[in-house]
Amino acid sequence: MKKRLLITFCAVLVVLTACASTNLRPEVGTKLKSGNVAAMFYMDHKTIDYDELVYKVLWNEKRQQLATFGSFWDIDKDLSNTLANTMGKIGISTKSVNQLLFDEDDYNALRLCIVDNKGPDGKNWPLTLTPGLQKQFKDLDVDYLVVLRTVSFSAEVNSMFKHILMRMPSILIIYDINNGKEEYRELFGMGGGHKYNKSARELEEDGLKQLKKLANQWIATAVEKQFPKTLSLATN
Amino acid sequence: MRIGSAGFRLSVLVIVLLCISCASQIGNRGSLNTTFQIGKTTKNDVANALGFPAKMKTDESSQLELWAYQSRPTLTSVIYALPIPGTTHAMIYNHPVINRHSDILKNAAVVYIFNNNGVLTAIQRNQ
Repeated sequence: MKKRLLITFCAVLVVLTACASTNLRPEVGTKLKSGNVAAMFYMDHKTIDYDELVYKVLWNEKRQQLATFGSFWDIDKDLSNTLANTMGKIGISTKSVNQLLFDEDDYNALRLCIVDNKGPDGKNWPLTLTPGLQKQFKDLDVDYLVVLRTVSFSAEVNSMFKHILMRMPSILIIYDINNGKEEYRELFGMGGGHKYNKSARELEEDGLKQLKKLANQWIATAVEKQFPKTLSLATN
Repeated sequence: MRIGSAGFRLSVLVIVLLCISCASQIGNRGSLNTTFQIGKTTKNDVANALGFPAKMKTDESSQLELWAYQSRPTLTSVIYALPIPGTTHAMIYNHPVINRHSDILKNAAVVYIFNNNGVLTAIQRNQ
Protein backbone atom coordinates (compact mmCIF):
# COMPACT_ATOMS: atom_id res chain seq x y z
CA MET A 1 0.00 0.00 0.00
CA LYS A 2 2.82 2.38 0.98
CA LYS A 3 4.61 1.56 -2.27
CA ARG A 4 1.49 2.34 -4.30
CA LEU A 5 1.05 5.65 -2.50
CA LEU A 6 4.67 6.54 -3.17
CA ILE A 7 4.33 5.71 -6.89
CA THR A 8 1.15 7.83 -7.12
CA PHE A 9 2.87 10.72 -5.30
CA CYS A 10 5.86 10.54 -7.68
CA ALA A 11 3.55 10.45 -10.73
CA VAL A 12 1.74 13.59 -9.47
CA LEU A 13 5.09 15.30 -8.86
CA VAL A 14 6.24 14.51 -12.42
CA VAL A 15 3.02 15.96 -13.85
CA LEU A 16 3.34 19.10 -11.69
CA THR A 17 6.97 19.56 -12.70
CA ALA A 18 5.98 19.36 -16.36
CA CYS A 19 3.39 22.11 -15.83
CA ALA A 20 5.81 24.52 -14.16
CA SER A 21 7.14 27.31 -16.36
CA THR A 22 10.84 27.49 -17.12
CA ASN A 23 13.12 30.21 -15.83
CA LEU A 24 15.48 32.50 -17.72
CA ARG A 25 18.94 31.01 -18.17
CA PRO A 26 21.11 32.15 -15.19
CA GLU A 27 23.85 33.63 -17.42
CA VAL A 28 21.24 35.82 -19.15
CA GLY A 29 19.76 36.72 -15.75
CA THR A 30 23.21 37.91 -14.60
CA LYS A 31 23.62 40.12 -17.68
CA LEU A 32 20.08 41.46 -17.29
CA LYS A 33 20.73 42.44 -13.69
CA SER A 34 23.92 44.31 -14.54
CA GLY A 35 22.58 45.89 -17.75
CA ASN A 36 20.04 48.54 -18.64
CA VAL A 37 16.49 47.44 -19.31
CA ALA A 38 13.49 48.94 -21.11
CA ALA A 39 10.15 47.71 -19.78
CA MET A 40 6.88 47.62 -21.65
CA PHE A 41 3.38 46.49 -20.72
CA TYR A 42 0.94 45.97 -23.58
CA MET A 43 -2.74 44.95 -23.52
CA ASP A 44 -4.20 43.88 -26.89
CA HIS A 45 -7.88 44.58 -26.17
CA LYS A 46 -8.61 47.26 -23.66
CA THR A 47 -11.54 45.35 -22.20
CA ILE A 48 -12.79 43.60 -19.07
CA ASP A 49 -14.26 40.22 -20.06
CA TYR A 50 -16.81 39.33 -17.40
CA ASP A 51 -17.82 35.67 -17.22
CA GLU A 52 -20.49 34.78 -14.71
CA LEU A 53 -21.94 31.56 -13.39
CA VAL A 54 -25.54 32.30 -12.41
CA TYR A 55 -27.15 29.83 -10.05
CA LYS A 56 -30.75 29.05 -11.09
CA VAL A 57 -31.45 26.10 -8.72
CA LEU A 58 -32.45 23.56 -11.38
CA TRP A 59 -29.78 24.68 -13.81
CA ASN A 60 -26.84 27.10 -14.01
CA GLU A 61 -26.26 29.72 -16.66
CA LYS A 62 -23.00 31.10 -18.02
CA ARG A 63 -23.27 34.74 -19.01
CA GLN A 64 -20.75 37.06 -20.58
CA GLN A 65 -20.41 40.83 -20.65
CA LEU A 66 -17.71 42.93 -22.22
CA ALA A 67 -16.75 46.33 -20.85
CA THR A 68 -14.48 48.24 -23.21
CA PHE A 69 -12.49 51.11 -21.71
CA GLY A 70 -10.32 51.74 -24.80
CA SER A 71 -8.44 55.02 -24.68
CA PHE A 72 -10.28 56.05 -21.49
CA TRP A 73 -7.32 54.65 -19.53
CA ASP A 74 -3.81 54.65 -21.00
CA ILE A 75 -3.18 51.29 -19.38
CA ASP A 76 -0.05 50.54 -21.42
CA LYS A 77 1.72 53.68 -20.23
CA ASP A 78 0.46 53.40 -16.66
CA LEU A 79 1.43 49.76 -16.17
CA SER A 80 4.71 50.11 -18.12
CA ASN A 81 5.71 52.73 -15.54
CA THR A 82 4.70 50.44 -12.65
CA LEU A 83 6.61 47.55 -14.23
CA ALA A 84 9.73 49.69 -14.63
CA ASN A 85 9.51 51.17 -11.11
CA THR A 86 9.04 47.78 -9.45
CA MET A 87 11.87 46.21 -11.46
CA GLY A 88 14.02 49.08 -10.19
CA LYS A 89 13.08 48.12 -6.63
CA ILE A 90 14.36 44.56 -7.12
CA GLY A 91 17.69 45.86 -8.36
CA ILE A 92 17.31 46.00 -12.15
CA SER A 93 18.14 49.33 -13.77
CA THR A 94 14.92 49.84 -15.73
CA LYS A 95 13.15 52.60 -17.62
CA SER A 96 9.67 52.46 -19.06
CA VAL A 97 9.58 52.51 -22.90
CA ASN A 98 7.52 55.69 -22.53
CA GLN A 99 10.56 57.37 -20.96
CA LEU A 100 12.74 56.23 -23.87
CA LEU A 101 10.61 56.41 -27.01
CA PHE A 102 9.08 59.87 -27.12
CA ASP A 103 8.14 59.74 -30.79
CA GLU A 104 4.67 58.25 -31.30
CA ASP A 105 5.76 56.60 -34.59
CA ASP A 106 8.61 54.80 -32.82
CA TYR A 107 6.27 53.60 -30.08
CA ASN A 108 3.77 52.35 -32.69
CA ALA A 109 6.57 50.58 -34.58
CA LEU A 110 7.52 48.77 -31.37
CA ARG A 111 3.88 47.91 -30.68
CA LEU A 112 3.57 46.42 -34.19
CA CYS A 113 6.72 44.32 -33.69
CA ILE A 114 5.11 42.84 -30.58
CA VAL A 115 1.60 42.34 -31.98
CA ASP A 116 2.28 41.30 -35.59
CA ASN A 117 4.64 38.42 -35.03
CA LYS A 118 2.54 35.48 -36.14
CA GLY A 119 4.08 33.16 -38.71
CA PRO A 120 2.25 31.54 -41.65
CA ASP A 121 1.43 28.63 -39.33
CA GLY A 122 -0.54 31.00 -37.09
CA LYS A 123 1.88 30.51 -34.20
CA ASN A 124 3.79 33.32 -32.54
CA TRP A 125 7.28 33.76 -33.90
CA PRO A 126 10.08 35.03 -31.69
CA LEU A 127 10.04 38.81 -31.28
CA THR A 128 12.23 40.68 -33.76
CA LEU A 129 12.74 44.44 -33.65
CA THR A 130 13.17 46.50 -36.80
CA PRO A 131 16.81 47.58 -37.43
CA GLY A 132 15.75 51.19 -36.71
CA LEU A 133 14.33 50.35 -33.29
CA GLN A 134 17.26 48.10 -32.50
CA LYS A 135 19.68 50.96 -33.23
CA GLN A 136 17.59 53.42 -31.26
CA PHE A 137 17.62 51.22 -28.17
CA LYS A 138 21.38 50.61 -28.57
CA ASP A 139 21.98 54.37 -28.83
CA LEU A 140 19.99 54.77 -25.61
CA ASP A 141 22.33 52.24 -23.98
CA VAL A 142 19.53 49.69 -23.46
CA ASP A 143 20.64 46.05 -23.23
CA TYR A 144 17.35 44.22 -22.77
CA LEU A 145 13.69 44.80 -23.56
CA VAL A 146 11.23 43.21 -21.11
CA VAL A 147 7.67 42.95 -22.44
CA LEU A 148 4.58 41.89 -20.52
CA ARG A 149 1.83 41.31 -23.08
CA THR A 150 -1.72 40.48 -22.08
CA VAL A 151 -4.96 40.12 -24.04
CA SER A 152 -7.50 41.69 -21.66
CA PHE A 153 -8.75 41.58 -18.08
CA SER A 154 -10.61 38.37 -17.34
CA ALA A 155 -13.18 38.57 -14.53
CA GLU A 156 -14.84 35.34 -13.39
CA VAL A 157 -17.84 36.34 -11.32
CA ASN A 158 -19.57 34.12 -8.81
CA SER A 159 -22.88 35.85 -8.13
CA MET A 160 -23.69 33.59 -5.17
CA PHE A 161 -20.64 34.65 -3.14
CA LYS A 162 -20.26 38.18 -4.60
CA HIS A 163 -16.72 37.34 -5.54
CA ILE A 164 -14.65 38.04 -8.64
CA LEU A 165 -11.55 36.16 -9.65
CA MET A 166 -9.61 38.70 -11.70
CA ARG A 167 -6.84 37.62 -14.03
CA MET A 168 -4.41 39.23 -16.43
CA PRO A 169 -3.07 36.19 -18.29
CA SER A 170 0.17 37.44 -19.85
CA ILE A 171 3.24 36.44 -21.79
CA LEU A 172 6.62 37.57 -20.50
CA ILE A 173 9.14 38.22 -23.28
CA ILE A 174 12.81 39.10 -22.80
CA TYR A 175 14.67 40.41 -25.82
CA ASP A 176 18.42 40.91 -26.06
CA ILE A 177 18.97 44.23 -27.85
CA ASN A 178 22.70 43.64 -28.52
CA ASN A 179 22.22 40.19 -30.09
CA GLY A 180 18.82 40.94 -31.62
CA LYS A 181 17.45 37.73 -30.15
CA GLU A 182 14.46 36.71 -28.06
CA GLU A 183 15.88 35.07 -24.95
CA TYR A 184 12.70 34.13 -23.12
CA ARG A 185 8.97 33.69 -23.72
CA GLU A 186 6.68 32.14 -21.12
CA LEU A 187 3.18 32.49 -19.77
CA PHE A 188 3.08 34.78 -16.76
CA GLY A 189 0.00 34.92 -14.53
CA MET A 190 -1.17 37.93 -12.54
CA GLY A 191 -4.38 38.72 -10.72
CA GLY A 192 -6.29 38.09 -7.52
CA GLY A 193 -9.65 37.74 -5.80
CA HIS A 194 -11.96 40.66 -5.15
CA LYS A 195 -15.20 41.04 -3.17
CA TYR A 196 -17.98 43.36 -4.35
CA ASN A 197 -21.12 44.76 -2.73
CA LYS A 198 -23.96 45.06 -5.25
CA SER A 199 -22.58 44.75 -8.76
CA ALA A 200 -19.44 43.12 -10.10
CA ARG A 201 -19.06 46.21 -12.25
CA GLU A 202 -18.25 48.39 -9.24
CA LEU A 203 -14.68 47.99 -10.52
CA GLU A 204 -15.51 50.55 -13.20
CA GLU A 205 -16.72 53.27 -10.80
CA ASP A 206 -14.98 56.67 -10.78
CA GLY A 207 -13.17 56.14 -14.07
CA LEU A 208 -11.96 52.59 -13.20
CA LYS A 209 -10.45 53.75 -9.89
CA GLN A 210 -10.59 50.30 -8.23
CA LEU A 211 -9.38 48.40 -11.27
CA LYS A 212 -6.44 50.77 -11.76
CA LYS A 213 -5.40 50.28 -8.16
CA LEU A 214 -5.72 46.48 -8.37
CA ALA A 215 -3.88 46.16 -11.71
CA ASN A 216 -0.97 48.26 -10.42
CA GLN A 217 -0.83 46.08 -7.28
CA TRP A 218 -0.84 42.84 -9.30
CA ILE A 219 2.06 44.01 -11.45
CA ALA A 220 4.06 45.17 -8.43
CA THR A 221 3.40 41.96 -6.48
CA ALA A 222 4.15 39.70 -9.45
CA VAL A 223 7.42 41.49 -10.20
CA GLU A 224 8.55 41.52 -6.57
CA LYS A 225 7.58 37.91 -5.85
CA GLN A 226 8.03 36.08 -9.19
CA PHE A 227 10.72 37.97 -11.12
CA PRO A 228 13.66 37.04 -8.85
CA LYS A 229 12.99 33.34 -9.53
CA THR A 230 11.73 33.62 -13.13
CA LEU A 231 14.62 35.82 -14.21
CA SER A 232 17.13 33.74 -12.19
CA LEU A 233 18.15 36.83 -10.22
CA ALA A 234 18.21 35.06 -6.88
CA THR A 235 21.04 32.77 -8.03
CA ASN A 236 23.30 35.71 -8.97
CA MET B 1 -52.68 18.80 -0.40
CA ARG B 2 -52.67 18.77 3.41
CA ILE B 3 -50.34 21.03 5.41
CA GLY B 4 -47.55 18.85 6.78
CA SER B 5 -47.86 16.22 4.04
CA ALA B 6 -44.77 15.13 2.09
CA GLY B 7 -46.08 16.81 -1.09
CA PHE B 8 -46.65 20.10 0.74
CA ARG B 9 -43.18 20.04 2.26
CA LEU B 10 -41.61 19.29 -1.14
CA SER B 11 -43.52 22.20 -2.75
CA VAL B 12 -42.33 24.58 0.00
CA LEU B 13 -38.73 23.40 -0.51
CA VAL B 14 -38.92 23.96 -4.29
CA ILE B 15 -40.41 27.49 -3.78
CA VAL B 16 -37.68 28.39 -1.26
CA LEU B 17 -34.96 27.10 -3.58
CA LEU B 18 -36.38 29.07 -6.51
CA CYS B 19 -36.42 32.23 -4.35
CA ILE B 20 -32.69 31.94 -3.61
CA SER B 21 -31.70 31.59 -7.26
CA CYS B 22 -29.38 34.40 -8.29
CA ALA B 23 -29.77 37.24 -10.74
CA SER B 24 -26.94 38.23 -13.05
CA GLN B 25 -24.68 40.91 -11.57
CA ILE B 26 -22.59 41.81 -14.59
CA GLY B 27 -25.18 43.80 -16.56
CA ASN B 28 -25.08 47.55 -17.23
CA ARG B 29 -24.79 49.58 -14.03
CA GLY B 30 -27.87 51.65 -14.87
CA SER B 31 -30.95 51.53 -17.09
CA LEU B 32 -30.48 52.15 -20.80
CA ASN B 33 -33.50 54.48 -20.48
CA THR B 34 -31.41 56.90 -18.38
CA THR B 35 -31.84 60.40 -19.77
CA PHE B 36 -28.72 62.07 -21.15
CA GLN B 37 -28.54 65.53 -22.66
CA ILE B 38 -27.23 65.83 -26.18
CA GLY B 39 -24.60 68.57 -26.37
CA LYS B 40 -23.98 68.42 -22.61
CA THR B 41 -23.47 64.86 -21.36
CA THR B 42 -19.87 63.65 -21.49
CA LYS B 43 -18.29 60.18 -21.84
CA ASN B 44 -17.52 60.35 -18.11
CA ASP B 45 -21.20 60.89 -17.28
CA VAL B 46 -22.29 57.91 -19.39
CA ALA B 47 -19.53 55.67 -17.98
CA ASN B 48 -20.49 56.62 -14.42
CA ALA B 49 -24.18 55.94 -15.02
CA LEU B 50 -24.01 52.75 -17.10
CA GLY B 51 -20.48 51.39 -16.80
CA PHE B 52 -18.25 51.03 -19.85
CA PRO B 53 -19.78 49.92 -23.17
CA ALA B 54 -19.54 46.45 -24.67
CA LYS B 55 -17.89 47.97 -27.73
CA MET B 56 -16.15 51.25 -28.57
CA LYS B 57 -15.42 52.32 -32.11
CA THR B 58 -13.98 55.51 -33.57
CA ASP B 59 -15.08 56.55 -37.02
CA GLU B 60 -11.82 57.75 -38.62
CA SER B 61 -13.42 60.11 -41.14
CA SER B 62 -15.83 61.92 -38.79
CA GLN B 63 -13.77 61.43 -35.59
CA LEU B 64 -16.98 60.40 -33.84
CA GLU B 65 -16.73 57.78 -31.09
CA LEU B 66 -19.44 55.14 -30.81
CA TRP B 67 -20.25 53.47 -27.49
CA ALA B 68 -22.46 50.40 -27.95
CA TYR B 69 -24.42 48.92 -25.04
CA GLN B 70 -26.20 45.56 -24.95
CA SER B 71 -29.50 45.29 -23.09
CA ARG B 72 -28.29 42.39 -20.94
CA PRO B 73 -25.30 40.08 -20.56
CA THR B 74 -25.06 37.46 -23.28
CA LEU B 75 -26.20 33.97 -22.31
CA THR B 76 -23.40 31.72 -23.51
CA SER B 77 -24.32 28.33 -22.08
CA VAL B 78 -26.75 26.44 -19.86
CA ILE B 79 -25.46 23.79 -17.47
CA TYR B 80 -27.73 21.14 -15.99
CA ALA B 81 -27.58 17.65 -14.56
CA LEU B 82 -29.85 14.70 -15.35
CA PRO B 83 -29.92 11.42 -13.43
CA ILE B 84 -28.71 8.36 -15.27
CA PRO B 85 -31.59 5.83 -15.14
CA GLY B 86 -30.91 2.78 -13.04
CA THR B 87 -27.90 4.32 -11.29
CA THR B 88 -27.25 6.76 -8.46
CA HIS B 89 -25.14 8.95 -10.78
CA ALA B 90 -25.98 12.03 -12.80
CA MET B 91 -24.67 13.29 -16.12
CA ILE B 92 -23.74 16.99 -16.38
CA TYR B 93 -24.59 18.70 -19.67
CA ASN B 94 -23.14 22.02 -20.84
CA HIS B 95 -25.09 23.41 -23.78
CA PRO B 96 -23.55 26.37 -25.62
CA VAL B 97 -26.30 28.84 -26.50
CA ILE B 98 -24.91 31.40 -28.92
CA ASN B 99 -21.72 32.48 -30.60
CA ARG B 100 -19.84 34.58 -28.05
CA HIS B 101 -18.33 36.73 -30.78
CA SER B 102 -21.49 38.02 -32.49
CA ASP B 103 -21.41 41.56 -33.88
CA ILE B 104 -21.91 43.71 -30.78
CA LEU B 105 -22.23 47.00 -32.64
CA LYS B 106 -24.92 45.62 -34.95
CA ASN B 107 -26.89 43.99 -32.13
CA ALA B 108 -26.49 46.81 -29.60
CA ALA B 109 -29.60 48.04 -27.79
CA VAL B 110 -28.30 51.62 -27.62
CA VAL B 111 -25.37 53.38 -29.27
CA TYR B 112 -24.16 56.69 -27.81
CA ILE B 113 -22.20 58.87 -30.21
CA PHE B 114 -19.62 61.37 -28.93
CA ASN B 115 -17.68 64.09 -30.74
CA ASN B 116 -13.91 64.43 -30.42
CA ASN B 117 -14.39 66.61 -27.31
CA GLY B 118 -16.11 63.68 -25.60
CA VAL B 119 -19.56 65.30 -25.66
CA LEU B 120 -22.70 63.34 -26.57
CA THR B 121 -23.96 64.26 -30.04
CA ALA B 122 -26.54 61.55 -30.80
CA ILE B 123 -28.25 58.45 -29.41
CA GLN B 124 -29.31 55.49 -31.57
CA ARG B 125 -31.82 53.05 -30.12
CA ASN B 126 -32.29 49.73 -31.84
CA GLN B 127 -35.35 48.56 -29.90
